[in-house]
Amino acid sequence: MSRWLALLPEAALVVTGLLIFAALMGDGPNRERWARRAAEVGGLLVLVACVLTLGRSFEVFWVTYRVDAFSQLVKLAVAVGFLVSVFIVRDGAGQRDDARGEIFFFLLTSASGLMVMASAVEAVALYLGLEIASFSLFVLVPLRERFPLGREAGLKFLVVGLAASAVTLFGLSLLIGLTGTTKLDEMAVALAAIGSKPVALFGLALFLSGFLFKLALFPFHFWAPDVYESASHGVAAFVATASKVTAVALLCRLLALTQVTGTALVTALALAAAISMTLGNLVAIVQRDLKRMLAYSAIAQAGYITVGLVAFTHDGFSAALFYGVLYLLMNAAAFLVVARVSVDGANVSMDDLNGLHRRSPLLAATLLLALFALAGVPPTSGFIGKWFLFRAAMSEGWWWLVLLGAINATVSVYYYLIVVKHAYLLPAEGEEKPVPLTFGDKALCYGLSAATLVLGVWPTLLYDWASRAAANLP
Amino acid sequence: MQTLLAGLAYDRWIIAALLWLPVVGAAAILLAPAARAKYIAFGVTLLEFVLSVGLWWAYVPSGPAVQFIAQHAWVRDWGIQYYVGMDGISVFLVLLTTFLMPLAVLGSWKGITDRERGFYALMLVLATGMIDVFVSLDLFLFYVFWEVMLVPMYFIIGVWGGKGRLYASIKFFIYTMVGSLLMLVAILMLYFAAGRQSGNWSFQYEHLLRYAVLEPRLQFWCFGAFFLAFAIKVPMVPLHTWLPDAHVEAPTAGSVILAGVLLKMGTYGLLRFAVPFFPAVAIGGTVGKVVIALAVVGMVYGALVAMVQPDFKKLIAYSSVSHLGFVVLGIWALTVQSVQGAVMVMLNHGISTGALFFLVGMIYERRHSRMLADFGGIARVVPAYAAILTVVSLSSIGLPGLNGFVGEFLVLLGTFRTHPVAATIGTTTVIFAAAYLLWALLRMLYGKITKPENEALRDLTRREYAVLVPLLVVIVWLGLFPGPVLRRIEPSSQRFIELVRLRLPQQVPTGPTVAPQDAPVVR
Repeated sequence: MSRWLALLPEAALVVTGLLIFAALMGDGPNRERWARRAAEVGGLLVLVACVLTLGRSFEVFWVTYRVDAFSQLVKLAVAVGFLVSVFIVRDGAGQRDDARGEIFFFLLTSASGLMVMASAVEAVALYLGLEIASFSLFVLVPLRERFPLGREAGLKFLVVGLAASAVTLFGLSLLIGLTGTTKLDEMAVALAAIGSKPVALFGLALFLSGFLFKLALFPFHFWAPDVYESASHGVAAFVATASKVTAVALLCRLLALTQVTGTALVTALALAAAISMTLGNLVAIVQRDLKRMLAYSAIAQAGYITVGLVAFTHDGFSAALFYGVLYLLMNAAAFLVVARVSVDGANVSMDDLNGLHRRSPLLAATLLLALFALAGVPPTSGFIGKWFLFRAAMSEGWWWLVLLGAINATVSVYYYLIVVKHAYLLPAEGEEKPVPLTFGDKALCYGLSAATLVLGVWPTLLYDWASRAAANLP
Repeated sequence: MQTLLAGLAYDRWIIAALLWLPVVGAAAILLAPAARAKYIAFGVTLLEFVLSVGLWWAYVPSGPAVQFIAQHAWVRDWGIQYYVGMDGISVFLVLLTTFLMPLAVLGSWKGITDRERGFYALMLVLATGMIDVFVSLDLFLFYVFWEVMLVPMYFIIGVWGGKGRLYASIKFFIYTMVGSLLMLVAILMLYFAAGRQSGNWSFQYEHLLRYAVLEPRLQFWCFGAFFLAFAIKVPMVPLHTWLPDAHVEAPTAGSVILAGVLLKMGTYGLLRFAVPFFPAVAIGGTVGKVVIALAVVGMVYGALVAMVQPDFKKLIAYSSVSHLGFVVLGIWALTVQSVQGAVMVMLNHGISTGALFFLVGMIYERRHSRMLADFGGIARVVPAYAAILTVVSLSSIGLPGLNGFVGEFLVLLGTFRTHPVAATIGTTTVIFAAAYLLWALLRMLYGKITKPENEALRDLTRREYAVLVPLLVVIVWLGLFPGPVLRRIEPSSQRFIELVRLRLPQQVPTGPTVAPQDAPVVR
């Protein structure tokens, strides 16, 4: 019976869902506050459950659902992402008035979908998780208050997302038809026997698109800038953290299915990575809205991660997983700062950051570390993460991609430094209003900054785990 | 003295102490009240200097090539190590750093009034970064600290700099980053080449030196990446344009450290990595000729541009371009004298130019101007200042008896044997140097007082004496007795040349190598 304890995180999710649901049933003035408390407590429960079940392994539901080092790493990351996002949402500032409590519920359902994806080793279950995760976000993104662009962004997200989803389903059906099974393990064996037939590659490529969409890799990146800009901060943070890391993990899982080195699929991925990095970084330079800039930076970061993926080695997948988690931490820190600097949930422009180092030294320092990590300046975790990605690609001879990545990292330094300039070098216009921070804000700032530095200096703390997780791939 | 140091096991802990003491100091500053920051910073840097003085005796020139070694695994699976040690060249660059640091801190006591804690904490972090670059024997470690150092310097220029600080700081950061990221790719190339050759994955300097065999075309590009990173830092013409901006906008301490130490990292990198890794590309063939030409052009061009600068600080900045040309020329001439001379020029330039920047900073604090035209005849009002400025300028020009002469003379002497034309053209630089500095002195110090504002200038304060006198002592000491320093540098210079010569005909070292012994790999 104790084997079933491995499903503790999922159980905690259900409990949290019920808690939030119960809180939302009432219609008193404190409805949102109760929902928020429920989400915070529940998120913490999920996190604790994830930590408690570490090291367990279990297969259940006719071998469609597997708990191993891989899924646990992803689940823990998702739990952290969910908790931080809930925390960033706080009172739902910027969210439509009548949906300030619901935001927690939909974030939770999305997180559940992501966790299902992490554990699913069967294609249909995987697809189900993908849909649960996406649909909740389709609902959340347009629910922004007084933001005309919001509906357009919501629509774009929905249409592109559904298209990607349909393509994924088509790819999936091709793969199932070809291999005669929906179980990923068996699929891997069957695909190995088939070899790299065009139809197998085609199916896999289509199957990948849903996850590339989540990762916002070129050419699936169109939604990202609009969604980041027009979703409320907490929702954008969730899209940028929990959703991203799961996408990375799933890409690792699917790419590990078959030996595709040297095929057109790899070339296509490499090209997508190259364009993604270059496009994201160049367009980010001219952005004035901090969240929109982070969106373009995310497109570029998706490119870096793909540089690790195209190595198609154990090292490459480990590096991508590792970087995915690091990226979650840096991005969470950046979004936390955005949310706290913002007044009434409005968007934050570069000029709003002026003089931040006096208004709130802690937020400024958190932002600084997050940006340096995104840029890849040592000794932050972003540097070592990129180093691992580049090293993995280099060992498989992708030197032009690494070179391009290095050049891109230089370009990215420029726009990250523009933000640093606003926060540190320019004085605030008018009076310097201090940014109020709660105890929780401060704790989170310290925690995320410490993680960025500690993992930068002792990467093995996490990398070993990522490496073990990658070893679990079929 | 040596027995005392041996009794203290000095050689075991000295590098660790030098590296991590400033970090502890920086943490202490951040926790202490702002008014204490400068005292803590001064105390820490002074202690650092006192500790480092022991290197003078502890370093044994006739001993092993690399001394004071410390080695620990960092990322074990990937062969990344914390691996540090010093040879004769590193020892003196570290001493230069620790010598300039307390002076730079003391020199900014009055100039820095805003956000003091941040400033002094960053200075200390900078010290750690600089020292680590000079002692790293693991290329990964070297790269990390090479990059880490950009951040404090960016803030020192960007926050405490002059009017154009925003532009200058970002230019500084981006310029350096462009070079170094390409170097990162080249380091990875070497790593994989060496790993495939030996089956042992490591970023160790000696390991890469011995096993990294690349095909000629790749060697060319890798050398290009290394060279670009270092040439930007040196800076060599035509990559020098960030330097005048950064120097002019940086606060005094920033300029001193930038000129005194940071530029040396570029030449140190050429000496330690770019040339020994790829001697066939670097020395032989067209590339070598181009580099020598660039060095000579930099020497002459820097001097000529310095001559027409109305801003004293900019004048010194361009004179740096000129002096660093000597260093590159000395390295590429590949004779023992020229290499020794190059190292001497590095030290002397750090001291003399550092002193010049201090002096400019001091007059700027009084008059809020650095324009030569705003002064004139102030020698009568501030005689001590004028006297010191004159001596320091003469040392920078290269007057025999002061430190500047020794290095430049050795470089020219050594270069003449292999590249007479370059040496001959280079010699003219000394004349130009005399012209721009003496002319500047003439306009600034001598003659009648032309501006009434200058009548009431105060002469040096006691704190300022405390900054300048140590520099003067070293200027005279190195000028009169360069022997002990040269003796300590010689074996390392000799080794550098043998290493390069040995690797020149073909890249694969065979038979008994003079390359430093492979240090044991920590597993």
